[in-house]
Amino acid sequence: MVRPAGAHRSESALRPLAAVGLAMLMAGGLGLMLGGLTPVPTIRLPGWSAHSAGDVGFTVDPDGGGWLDRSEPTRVDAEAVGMHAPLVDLGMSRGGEFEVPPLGRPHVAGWFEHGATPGEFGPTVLLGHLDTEASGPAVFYALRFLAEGDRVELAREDGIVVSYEVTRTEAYSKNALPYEEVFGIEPEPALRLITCGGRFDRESGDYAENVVVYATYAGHRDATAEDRSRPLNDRDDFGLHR
Amino acid sequence: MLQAVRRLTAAVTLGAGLALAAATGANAAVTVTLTPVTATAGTTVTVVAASCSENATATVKDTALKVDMPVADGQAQGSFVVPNEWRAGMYTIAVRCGDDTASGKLTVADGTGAKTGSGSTASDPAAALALTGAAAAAVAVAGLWLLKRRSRIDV
Repeated sequence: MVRPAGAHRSESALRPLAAVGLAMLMAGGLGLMLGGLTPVPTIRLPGWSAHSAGDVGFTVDPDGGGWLDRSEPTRVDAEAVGMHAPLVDLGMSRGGEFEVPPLGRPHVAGWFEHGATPGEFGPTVLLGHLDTEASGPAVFYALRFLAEGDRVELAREDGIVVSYEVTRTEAYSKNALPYEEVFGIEPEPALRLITCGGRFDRESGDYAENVVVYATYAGHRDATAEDRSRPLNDRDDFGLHR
Repeated sequence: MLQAVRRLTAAVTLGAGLALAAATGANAAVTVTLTPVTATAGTTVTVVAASCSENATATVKDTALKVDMPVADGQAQGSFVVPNEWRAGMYTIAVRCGDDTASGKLTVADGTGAKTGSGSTASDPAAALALTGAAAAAVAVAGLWLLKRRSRIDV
């Protein structure tokens, strides 16, 4: 059988191209294998700030701006990700470790009592588990679905609901948590939601990083009937929308 | 042993407080704000005295630390770095602005981060990556082998 010369030539012409493509695929695959076996830390560029140390860079106004007086938070809601969690008070151990919510109640988050209360000037800090052994995902697993502009609301004991708007999410090595940022003040009341992230070290039984969601003050209101009847998630519901 | 002790003391988290304290003067009360409100060894803490129109000084109770707080734009501010020797706990920071005094509270933590996970949802990204790579390499090998076989038949 005689092949048309043209067809044969075009196939032979394609063959080196295919070989090159496959060789590149092989190189890429081998590269991924190598990358998978070599641990790569999360890369973080050093923070740059417009003001020097010793200068907060703005006029601090703890009494002005219509900020609220102290009243402890009772619950946190982030409708966008289906988070409706009760809050417990968290302090610090004598040795200086952050207390975390009880592992047996994975749907509960905690409020760090050494920070501001919602709507009060300063950073309000909440901590919640990413996961627990018994529950799998836990209350702050849903933080990964929060996007810039999403609302987070905190209800206070005095019946006021304070709104915050998510601005950004950062991940930090637990060994190098930038306290200046995570626990720092902003010109307005601020909210920080903290959970775990990064690689899980099976040897130490701990995640390598803390994930911090930053949100800024977006106003407050007296709790409405709708606010008061809003159900809380129970121990096997953690939102996980999107 | 020495290292353990050092680590323990380094773990001081300044429980920073937004400490607001009323001053005794007739003017607007001086208020003290600390940022960050919680710190650890090595953290730079800035002390701000609002409604303070002259140079002020801050002292940290039960320590030898004294901080100069020059005034600018109606507030006095100065900073210090949390020393390694400070133990975890609460520290009271007293500010003197002229005849007025006010104070704030700093929380010092051990600097280990928050243990907010058990790892039950942790995938092993490294293994997943290696598997993907192996699959790609296998596809490439199969493709190259097919190419070679075709060329043998053709020639």
